[in-house]
Amino acid sequence: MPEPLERTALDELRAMTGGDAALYVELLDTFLTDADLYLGELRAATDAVTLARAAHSLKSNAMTVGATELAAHCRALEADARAGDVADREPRVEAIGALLLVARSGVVHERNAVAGGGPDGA
Amino acid sequence: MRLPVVAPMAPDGGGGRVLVVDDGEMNRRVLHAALAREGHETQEAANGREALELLAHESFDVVLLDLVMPEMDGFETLAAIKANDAHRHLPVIVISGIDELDAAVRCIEMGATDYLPKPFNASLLRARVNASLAGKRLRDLELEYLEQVQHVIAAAGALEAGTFEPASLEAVGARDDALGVLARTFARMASEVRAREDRLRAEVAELRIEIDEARQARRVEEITSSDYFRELRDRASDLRRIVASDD
Repeated sequence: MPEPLERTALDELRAMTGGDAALYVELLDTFLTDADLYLGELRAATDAVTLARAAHSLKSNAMTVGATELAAHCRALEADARAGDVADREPRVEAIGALLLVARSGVVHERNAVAGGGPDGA
Repeated sequence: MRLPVVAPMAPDGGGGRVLVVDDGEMNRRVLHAALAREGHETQEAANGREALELLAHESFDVVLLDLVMPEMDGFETLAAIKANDAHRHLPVIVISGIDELDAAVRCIEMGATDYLPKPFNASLLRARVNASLAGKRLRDLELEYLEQVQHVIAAAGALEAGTFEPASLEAVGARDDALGVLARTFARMASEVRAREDRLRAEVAELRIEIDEARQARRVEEITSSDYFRELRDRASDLRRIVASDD
């Protein structure tokens, strides 16, 4: 399957845990939970401040797991939201949602490989 | 689920207490894990308000501060920390994305010690936290030194006022540096001066007694050598003889 995540970012994240596989898996699970939360906030945002903050948070987590394209889209949306330029918010948020699906699959693949059940969690 | 604390690798001087301020749970967890491995103890706050609340009641050695947060962001939090005399010198490392360098620079101009880029790098985190800890410990040592110098100065004032108590310099005297030597020497000399004064006081008291006794003897001599005393003594002898003959 294609690699949606940057390996170096995942290696750095794992290094932060000191090689603790259980903790690494826990952090990847936190990404999965929080990413959905932030996407929900992006979709529900009614003002530029909330939109910018949610985009910022998702960008930060995306960078942590090496989802660079997702991070780039979030970064651009955050910058535009801060500038008040969010007329095309909806299609951009949906584009981010689509990229998050790709990133999620990569994170799930990684967490299952590390958790010992194989890439598919078998 | 609780995060496990892996075997600590404390830096020189031991681990510190680090306040991690970030609204992102993932960031807090990553930082907690990496800092715990280094032997540091962490407390977490999800925004600036929570951080200031913790700072008001607990002591920390370093603050790791995210910039974009709800309720109270990193800039406001940093400004509040720097405006508080009790926390003004607390090292604050701001957490910023690689695309937020301008914000990090602004924070350093506001008094932040350093910045930590996101995504985190374990080596950079270790280096920056330990450097901030070392700086804080050096400052704490300087403050303690100045405070103990003040004890010696106060002791000198107390000596002049005659209220010096050697116990007041015990803590300073326990130091193994030049200030400790000074405090021990001062306390010893003050004790010697006090002992000499006590001896002199005792000698003066003794002299007073001798003078009083001599004065009294002279008075007795004056009385017993007077004609009146002799006359009284003769009369007393006569009376004793009369009484004896009547018996």
